[in-house]
Amino acid sequence: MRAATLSIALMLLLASGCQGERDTTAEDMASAPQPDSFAPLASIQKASITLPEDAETFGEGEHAALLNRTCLACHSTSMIRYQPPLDRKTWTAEVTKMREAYGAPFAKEETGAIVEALMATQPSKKD
Amino acid sequence: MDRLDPFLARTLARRRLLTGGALTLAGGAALAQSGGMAQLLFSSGREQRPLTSGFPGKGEMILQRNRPPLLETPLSVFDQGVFTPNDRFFVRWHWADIPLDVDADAFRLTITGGKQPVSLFLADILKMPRISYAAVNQCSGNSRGLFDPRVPGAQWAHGAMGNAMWEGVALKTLLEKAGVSTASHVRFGGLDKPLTQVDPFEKSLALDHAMNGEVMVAFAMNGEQLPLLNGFPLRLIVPGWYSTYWVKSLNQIELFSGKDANYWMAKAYQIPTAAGANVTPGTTDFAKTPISTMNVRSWITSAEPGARIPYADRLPLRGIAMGGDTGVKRVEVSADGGQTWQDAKLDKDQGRYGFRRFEASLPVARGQVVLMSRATNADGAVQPMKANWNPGGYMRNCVEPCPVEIA
Repeated sequence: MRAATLSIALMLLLASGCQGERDTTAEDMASAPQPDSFAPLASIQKASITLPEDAETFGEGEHAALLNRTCLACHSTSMIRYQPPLDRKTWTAEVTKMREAYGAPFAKEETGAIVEALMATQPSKKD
Repeated sequence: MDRLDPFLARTLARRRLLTGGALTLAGGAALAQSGGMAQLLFSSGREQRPLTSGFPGKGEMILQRNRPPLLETPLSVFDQGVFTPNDRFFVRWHWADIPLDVDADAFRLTITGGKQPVSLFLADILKMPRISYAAVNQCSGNSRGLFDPRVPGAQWAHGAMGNAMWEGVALKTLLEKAGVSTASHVRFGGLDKPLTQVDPFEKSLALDHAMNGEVMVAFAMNGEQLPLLNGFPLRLIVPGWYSTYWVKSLNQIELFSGKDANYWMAKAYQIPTAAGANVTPGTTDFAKTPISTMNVRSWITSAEPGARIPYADRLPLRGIAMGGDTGVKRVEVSADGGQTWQDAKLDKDQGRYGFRRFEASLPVARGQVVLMSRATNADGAVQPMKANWNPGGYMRNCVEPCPVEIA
């Protein structure tokens, strides 16, 4: 509700702020802002938010348990569910990146099993 | 296994649990979805994503990932105005531990590696000379879901971008306070943290670029303080460059000399050096360089792909264009899949780094019609008809077909 009100207010502000016919060229950018549209910020207030819950898992079973343990500490299931069909080589590169660059909580030796689980969970391409 | 910070992981798990409790008390669902689904047209067909209004400070967004949040702006938002409202602006975080509670009075921005260390309160920064301009913030992987063949990563349609009026202090002004000595580069870090002992998400710019007077440390977006999900309280603005450089919740700036070996500069966000960041599909072995400037793009926003439009002899069209790292010079539109083109009328110029709206009216016949727009930037670069490909799914800028049915 509040967001909607803000959004409408912003659109009205923009509509009223953009009425004036003014010829600007591509060159006037950074040095020529449009202060007519937005008032300068006067102060900064503390900010605090609470994010929606994320309790979704891959469910039960051997593959699901493995993915639940190795993937969900850092991200939601959707990061995996929304990937397009990928081949073994691509999944292996992704899993390796997760371990090396993101520090995902699994040992190098588990890479093959995780790739198997991903390929079984996803509509994957045949090798 | 031992690299995961178990304490931090537990804290975050608990935070999620508490969050769930709070929502349950309020009578809400686990994730407040509006019930609707967004239809995204990818290269391999149509896919659905939930629409959600469940993220604080955000209106209805396309839910790509709950944690850490990946929220995409629906295409229709870009049809409503040249500036993208803060509550509809896309969200993208890498790490699970993102700032959710920031005390504006205690927050400090530190600058090290200069002649003297600098530590500034927000109140100090608000008193410094300000600059302001419109600029498009676009994810390097915007439109990745349209890559053919598909590639791994966040599967965005076209909404991992937005245009805002940014207000803040020129980075140059801040660096001069620290005293620039012999440094060759400037590194930027924020409040978001990995759960594990890996390189933090930090990006760097060459000193000349950092000192160009345009790169900004912003505290306001469209006249308001930044939403937490978009990098409150300070965000680096690198106009004309992809969003990966626009470090959110910026709290540390470091002058240094030499090459940045951090994973996020040296290994991630690499594009082919080939023209258009284009290589033969399937190729992984090619000369690479860190992604940098954006390219020219445009989209028709008055119709969604797959829409059914009532027949009239002329079809009014609206859309948005961006020049990349320069202004938009021209936009052409087509209602016959690119066989014939007509110039669109460009709306007011809001600055060369921002969106430029356009409108046109084209004669159409009944039946299946492919609408297109094609922008030319101030440097004469024109959107290509053919899509590029690279394994990262970066820098797509081809003409985007918008198939509709005139009935």
